[in-house]
Amino acid sequence: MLHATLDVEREPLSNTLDAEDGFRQQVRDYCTHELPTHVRDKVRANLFMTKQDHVDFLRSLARRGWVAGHWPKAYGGAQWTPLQRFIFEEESTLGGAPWLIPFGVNYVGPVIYTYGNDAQKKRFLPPILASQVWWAQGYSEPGAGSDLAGIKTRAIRNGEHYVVNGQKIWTSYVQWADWIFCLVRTSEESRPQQGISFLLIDMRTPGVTVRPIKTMDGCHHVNEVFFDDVKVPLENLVGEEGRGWSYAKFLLSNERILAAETGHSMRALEHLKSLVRSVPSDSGLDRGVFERRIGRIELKLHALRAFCLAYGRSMDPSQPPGVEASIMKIRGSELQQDISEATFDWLGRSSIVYDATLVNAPHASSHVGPADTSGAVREYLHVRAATIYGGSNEIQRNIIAKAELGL
Amino acid sequence: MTNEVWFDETDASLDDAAARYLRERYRFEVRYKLPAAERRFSRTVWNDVAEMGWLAVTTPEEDEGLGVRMTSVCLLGKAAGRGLLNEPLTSGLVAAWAIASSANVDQRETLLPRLHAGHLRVACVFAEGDEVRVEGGALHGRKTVVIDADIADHLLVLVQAAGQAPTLHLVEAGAPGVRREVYPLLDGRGAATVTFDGCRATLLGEGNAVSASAVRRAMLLGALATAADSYGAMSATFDLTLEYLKTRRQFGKPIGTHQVLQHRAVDMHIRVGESKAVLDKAAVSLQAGTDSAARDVHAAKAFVCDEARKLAHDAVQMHGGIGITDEYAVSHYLRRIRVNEQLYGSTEQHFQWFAAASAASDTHATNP
Repeated sequence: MLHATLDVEREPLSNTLDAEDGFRQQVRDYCTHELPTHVRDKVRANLFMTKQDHVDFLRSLARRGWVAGHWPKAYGGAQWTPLQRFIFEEESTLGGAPWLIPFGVNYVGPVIYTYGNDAQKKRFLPPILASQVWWAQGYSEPGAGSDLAGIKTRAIRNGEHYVVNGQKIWTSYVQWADWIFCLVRTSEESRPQQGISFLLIDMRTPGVTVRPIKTMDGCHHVNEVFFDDVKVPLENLVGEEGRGWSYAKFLLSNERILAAETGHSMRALEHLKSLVRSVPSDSGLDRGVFERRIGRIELKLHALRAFCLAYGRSMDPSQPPGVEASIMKIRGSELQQDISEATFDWLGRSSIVYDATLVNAPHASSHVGPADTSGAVREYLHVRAATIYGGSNEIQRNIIAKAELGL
Repeated sequence: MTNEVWFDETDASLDDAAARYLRERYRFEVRYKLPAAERRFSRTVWNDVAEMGWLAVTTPEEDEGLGVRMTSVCLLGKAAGRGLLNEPLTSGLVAAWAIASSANVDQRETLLPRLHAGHLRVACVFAEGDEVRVEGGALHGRKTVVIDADIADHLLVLVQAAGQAPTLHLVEAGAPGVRREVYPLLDGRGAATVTFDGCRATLLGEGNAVSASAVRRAMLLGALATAADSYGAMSATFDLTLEYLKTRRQFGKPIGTHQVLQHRAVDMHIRVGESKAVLDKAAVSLQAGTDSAARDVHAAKAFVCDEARKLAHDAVQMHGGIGITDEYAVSHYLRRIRVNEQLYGSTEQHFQWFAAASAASDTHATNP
């Protein structure tokens, strides 16, 4: 699979590139003229975004029909190719757009239009496009992290309802969510992957409680969610009972397609380069030596982008992503950590001052150093998680070893 | 890698008391629930620290200290890092030594007993270049990120303008002409930007400049204590990680049964062992005042801080989700290790000083 991807010389490159450039220009125009400036300013300063910031961003996308650009036209999307999707992520992020929180648009939406029934499509897809309903993902549990198939949250059929009992953890932004899609166990089978079902749960249902977990950047990204005799109508089951694992795998492969986050790294690298140009090191770092460290990082980014673009140009959209997605996740997350660590290092004495209230504010400020120092420190802390979430890099390597190398 | 070589009865009892105190009275899980101000500084803890004699290990016995004991500085630093001690121990140790070595008899008799008893809480403003100047007998200038200046009641100001002999000054933190902008550090400790605007301070000594070697030694003491702190933090991080590898089960078995994690744990173990050797060597050298003492301390600060950072990054990764949370100790160790990198000379500065000292002499021949 991998060798075919790298063989890009067979592709009619010039035509592809013209189309790519045209689309890139559209995304740039959007960022320049339509992306709300308060959102762009916060993103560039690495401040913590509010739900309203995200909604403002999504509404600005909606005017171009880009909230769910990769969805089929029949469901309100723009039917982007994987390459367009990649370009959108790269250009919009570079241009100051926030991470597009994927739970509705990228995760549950495609699962519903692929595996859901007509009633579910009609009920759930339009509010996602209109940014009216906020979704969260109920996957990980205390005992099921890297071993996701080990989930224990039970859904027992009782008349017209499932009764759900159990606990989810690391649930991102569920404090803003109206709905959560969950992997639940509907039967005990010999293989743990069997007996898992994909269930949609209204967060207002009695018995659902949320406990926030503060992360080391002092912000509120993740939570625990508890289900205590929660009654969920049978009609909220997506697809067939017991087939949830295959839907989850479909969803996870969707998740990884954007995992390279090259736009994020490009933006962070630009920030680092301008920092090094404008502020001297107060901790004895030599600018020339440091610029070579940046050069090595830039080379890794160059290679990752080449890999992603080659893959995007050769990918068959009708097939699920291959192990290339895992490669992009590994390289992309490590690159984010390299850049944020270098930025932290250059900030020197300023880097050790951190006041979480400043990164939860609407405008950049710092007690010492440039105004965006607090945000840069937050970024360093936050991207320590990039090699953990969405399937840890260890799990990604296992996937490649097994699926690609036959080990 | 043995400490018995330099351990005496005093060190043994200090070490034992420190370990017990931090384990029983300064537990992370208990302290995590305290209000922020109390977590930053507890008067009760500070009194206990003083009572256990920790603040007297850098003062000679003739000044009512326990002697200038670098081995004690090292073991207390380790304990402080392991216990995530936020109270200003290193600042106190450096200040006591600087006062004992530079102040006149009257000043020593007035200041040191109060310092040992915890009644004098000092932050060290070690200015570089012309950050702080003396003009007409008053202090002028500004120093950013002075650790512990947020909670100090006195500031010990080192002025070392280019071409002039260094001078040491003591001033009340609330004195006229002193302004502090206080802020939290990444790891829960605190600092301040201190501005002197013509403030009158007490000159330490007989009106003379302090010796350059005393200043250097104060910096080395601070670097040693900070390296020891990072060592304590990294070894505690390793213990947590090893425990997690043995108890966290996924795919029906402990995650520590995976070879890829075993090898990473072994690398962490090596980092801890080498760091301890480098650190203890520095403590012994600085205690003995050997020619290589400065070089050995530079080595310890640069090496331990660098290894500690790598170990802490790995520890977060190997813990997964719990590793990035604020309610679990591992992320606090990472943050403390990163703060320590910048205190009493950065990792890079100590590396450069180490390289310069190594280039200047054939140290391997004279310093096995």
